[in-house]
Amino acid sequence: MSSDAPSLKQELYAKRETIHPRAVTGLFARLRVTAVLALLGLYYFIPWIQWDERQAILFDLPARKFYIFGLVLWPQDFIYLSGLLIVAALSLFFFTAVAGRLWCGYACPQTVWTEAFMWIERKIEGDRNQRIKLDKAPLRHKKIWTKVLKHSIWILFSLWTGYTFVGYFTPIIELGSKLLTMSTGPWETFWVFFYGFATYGNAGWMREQVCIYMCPYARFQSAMFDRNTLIISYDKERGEPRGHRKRKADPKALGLGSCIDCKLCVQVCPTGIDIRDGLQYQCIGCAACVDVCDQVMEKLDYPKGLVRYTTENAMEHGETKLIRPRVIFYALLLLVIAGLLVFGLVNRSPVGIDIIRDRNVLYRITDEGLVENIYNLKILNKQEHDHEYRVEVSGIDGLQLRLDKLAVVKAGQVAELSAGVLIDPVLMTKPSADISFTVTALEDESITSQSEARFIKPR
Amino acid sequence: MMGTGGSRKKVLIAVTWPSFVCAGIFTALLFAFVDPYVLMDEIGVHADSRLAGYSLAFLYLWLVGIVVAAMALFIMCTPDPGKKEGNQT
Repeated sequence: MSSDAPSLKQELYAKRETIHPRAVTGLFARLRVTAVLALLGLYYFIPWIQWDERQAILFDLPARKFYIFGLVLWPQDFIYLSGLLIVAALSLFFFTAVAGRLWCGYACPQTVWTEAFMWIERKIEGDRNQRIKLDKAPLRHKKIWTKVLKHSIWILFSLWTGYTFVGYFTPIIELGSKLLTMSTGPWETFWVFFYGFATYGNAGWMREQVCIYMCPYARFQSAMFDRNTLIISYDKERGEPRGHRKRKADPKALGLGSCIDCKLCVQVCPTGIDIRDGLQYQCIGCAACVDVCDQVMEKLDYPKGLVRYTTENAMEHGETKLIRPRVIFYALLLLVIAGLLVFGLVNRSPVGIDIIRDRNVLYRITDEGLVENIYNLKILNKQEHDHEYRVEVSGIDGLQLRLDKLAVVKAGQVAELSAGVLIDPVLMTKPSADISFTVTALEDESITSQSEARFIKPR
Repeated sequence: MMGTGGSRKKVLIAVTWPSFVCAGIFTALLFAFVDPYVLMDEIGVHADSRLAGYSLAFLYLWLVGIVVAAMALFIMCTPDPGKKEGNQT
């Protein structure tokens, strides 16, 4: 390990130079701005949508209920949320295998908020050259004013982001009025500021460092790549040898390729890499270099696509295979898990029952000579109003049930009951048998659930 | 270990970020099965709201994660006494 220590140091201690990405226009820039506006719009708008006189999407942590429009999930439904996360992860794998880092370039919150922050920065400080000049300038009145203005707007935007984030977990309208009257709880205040600070730090200061040093996906996404995955690539064969030339000069006569070495592809890159050095994990696939290079090629009357979306196979053999085992595997897995999730949600019972056998006694013989097994029943009411349930036991003829109390369960609560199941031993031929407990709501027979247990008698 | 500004920042990231992610996951897992009121009662911490319970548990798990990550990083960066500095490649 020690022999690796200096290289480890090197990795951890790489010096960072501030990156001032140049503004870019073009097809992919338009796509990115569209994605950014749509996603930011959704993020800030969704908590304000109302449904049945409540917030439509609310992960109500204080009440331990998750509302997704008409669907109400309880902590016991954690499996569905886990399923949703698995579907999200598999979608990411699938899209990565097909189209590379689409997520990073267009949809990742880090990209989305960094774009928004950079837009604010450009509006206040100007484009790349003006920003570099401003950063090098001594700290005078204009610089101080510009920086204070930028950071103030960033901070306000971040705090609004923090407020919206907390608004997903506690009703946003109430939270807003509490904020206006300065009467929010200490933890709500803490999380608004914490998330606001994280947004300000990540999108304002850290930017590409989040992708390079913090993002685990950036490190393992190459595992989902193959030679047919869409990547942004520089056509070395066409571009090299690179070099400056006059606009009307014939590159062939000069012995040059199509790359004029203008370095615009480096200047527009939000992570500051040179795409001409080959595929790098820092590349977030935003295609800013594609847009800017196409504009340069257009000006020079060269064919576009010196830097382009392509695949390794297309670069070498001119063809890409979209349908391949990796893609089929991810797609099938995604379909199966998403199908199971939808099936589970559609068939989700509004009541749940868990049976735990009494661990202390296997069975006991009553004064009447019956065999009794004791079970602890947990009845989960997943609906938003209270219910009284009928509990029945079946599986062996002649079973009797004795409950210690009525099975009344409040909305969203779990009730625990002790259930004694009795039988005349002569009615039971085997030493043990499976039995079923069924709970059914008294006012609605369709609300029902069943669970299995084991009944044991003396040999 | 805590050399330049840049290095300090990166050490900070290595220690706080993975522990933050883990704390988030474990907090979600924990409270899927346990009500924060019940947990707080069990360990004798007074919490006047569930949000306080979630927050305290998250911050506690984050702190534990930070300590673990810092120890791991410290062990990684400790030179091997068996080798001379000049021999390291």
